Amino acid sequence: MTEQDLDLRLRARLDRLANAVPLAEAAQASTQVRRGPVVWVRGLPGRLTLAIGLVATVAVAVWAGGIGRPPGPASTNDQGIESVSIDGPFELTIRSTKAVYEADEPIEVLAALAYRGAAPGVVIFHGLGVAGGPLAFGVVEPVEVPGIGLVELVGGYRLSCVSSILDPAADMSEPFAKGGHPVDEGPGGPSFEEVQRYFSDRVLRLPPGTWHVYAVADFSVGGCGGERHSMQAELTIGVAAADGSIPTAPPPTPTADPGDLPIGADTQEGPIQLTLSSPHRDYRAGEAIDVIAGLGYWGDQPSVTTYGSSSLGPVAFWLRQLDGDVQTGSGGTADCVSQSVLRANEPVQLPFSKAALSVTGATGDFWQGWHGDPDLRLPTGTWEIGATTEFSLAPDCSVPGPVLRPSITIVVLP
Amino acid sequence: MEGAIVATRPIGDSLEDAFRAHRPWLVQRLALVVRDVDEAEDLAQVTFVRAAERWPFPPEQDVARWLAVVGLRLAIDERRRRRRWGYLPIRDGDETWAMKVDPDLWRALGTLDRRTRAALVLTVLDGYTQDEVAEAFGVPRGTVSSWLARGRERVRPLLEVRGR
Repeated sequence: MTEQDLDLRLRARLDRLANAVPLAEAAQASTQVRRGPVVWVRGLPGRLTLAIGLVATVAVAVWAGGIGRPPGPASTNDQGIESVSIDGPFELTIRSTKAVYEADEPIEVLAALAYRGAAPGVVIFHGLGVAGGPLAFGVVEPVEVPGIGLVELVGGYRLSCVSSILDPAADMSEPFAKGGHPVDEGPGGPSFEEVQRYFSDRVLRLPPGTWHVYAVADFSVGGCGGERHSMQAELTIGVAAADGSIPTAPPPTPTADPGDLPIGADTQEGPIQLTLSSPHRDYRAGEAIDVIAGLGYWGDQPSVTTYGSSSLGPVAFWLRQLDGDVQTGSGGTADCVSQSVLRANEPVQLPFSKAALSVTGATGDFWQGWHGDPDLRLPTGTWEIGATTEFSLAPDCSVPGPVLRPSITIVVLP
Repeated sequence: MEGAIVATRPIGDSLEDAFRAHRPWLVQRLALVVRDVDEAEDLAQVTFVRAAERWPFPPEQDVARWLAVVGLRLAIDERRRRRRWGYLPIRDGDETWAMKVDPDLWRALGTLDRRTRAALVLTVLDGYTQDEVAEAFGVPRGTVSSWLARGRERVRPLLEVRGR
């Protein structure tokens, strides 16, 4: 079959698949009206998660019996506790109806975001937490769940950006909502149905132990990507064992192999950002190593033009064997011939490229995985993989620009 | 853009017109790439917000092309994907729409990475050239060629055997 024939058949079948995608009703402006404190939400997604900003957050923990005091026995405690985080005119409060619960008793935790400023209201832009609002919840310690194993409850958002009006007269409150993932998500891990059943049950129950339960409010003011506010408030909650004691030993630690977790490096100079990431740290020998650089411009101009010394583009890659002698150059040339346009807020994703890399210290094992293979495969060992961007914003390269050099360490196992 | 659905569809000048005209095909393509209709809807929304920030586009701007490029760039944005990994959506992992129509192709596409699926969608389904895809994703043309070669080889047995 010729390539053209193959493409024709593939196109017909892709077209059938595409036409089968179940489309939701198109979102309209002012699509959602929420009852209660959240006055109005409209469909206006954006780049909330890409906003960059620092805020000073003050957290105050208030225990019923004194600041910072650990929970006492269950029989002596029936008062609520709360913790408040303050960021300018915003307050994030997390409350629990009790400081100490019985094992598997529903944990009643509520968080509220409040605006204490002088304006009649403020529009905040945020992603959607699990409960559909601007708040997300989590538990610092992984939780042992029967039938599933360890679960990490982490406050997370879907990447949408909706807006809500925060009214000084009415706090925006939400009960604890579960979001997260099992620690063991591999083939031998829990079934999707078991995990879904756990997360669909809105009630939080915890085994005996000392737990740090938190709420997060991550939003911006002035539009998606505007002035960012990131607040977290945390409670310490005790769950008593049958004898009334509260285990003080640390809860079980995750068994997830750190080698399976995503890794990344993030560097920034002014509005220019260069990131480098890989879905996991550990690879098997012969496995294609997935490394991607992201070059972004987050400034006020619609775009900038970069002028550089590499004919391959604004980012050059390099690698170095940490437990051996192999290393590469970064493939740059000494002239000023290359130019690229970086559009604001649209980072370009660049997979690792071997092009023009000069290699030193390599043996036969290395070359077997290097030539004639578009993917990056490396022999057993520990490797530092890096990306470098060094360019000028002046057409003749006369003015030095940012120099960014993130790197990550990859382990190739036998 | 040869073969693009939107090319023959007359639309008005407003962003709302563009949204109505372009959103369906954009979600469809994003769903083929990210294999999740909800995520595709999210990505389409983000793409239209980016468009709203620039609207109105100059007359010479190919709106469909802009949307496709920005949407698919977002779809393969590693940082955004990593953020999603920390969140388990509470919903069914519903792939029945695809499994009913073409389970073999759906599974075969699932063995490819997102950028390869994106390159296949842009070139095979929408008729972009390899040079255009390379420019869109900021990679050398040879890289796109290798993605496409890998993608075609993965689906070739399927198309040769079944030939439908």
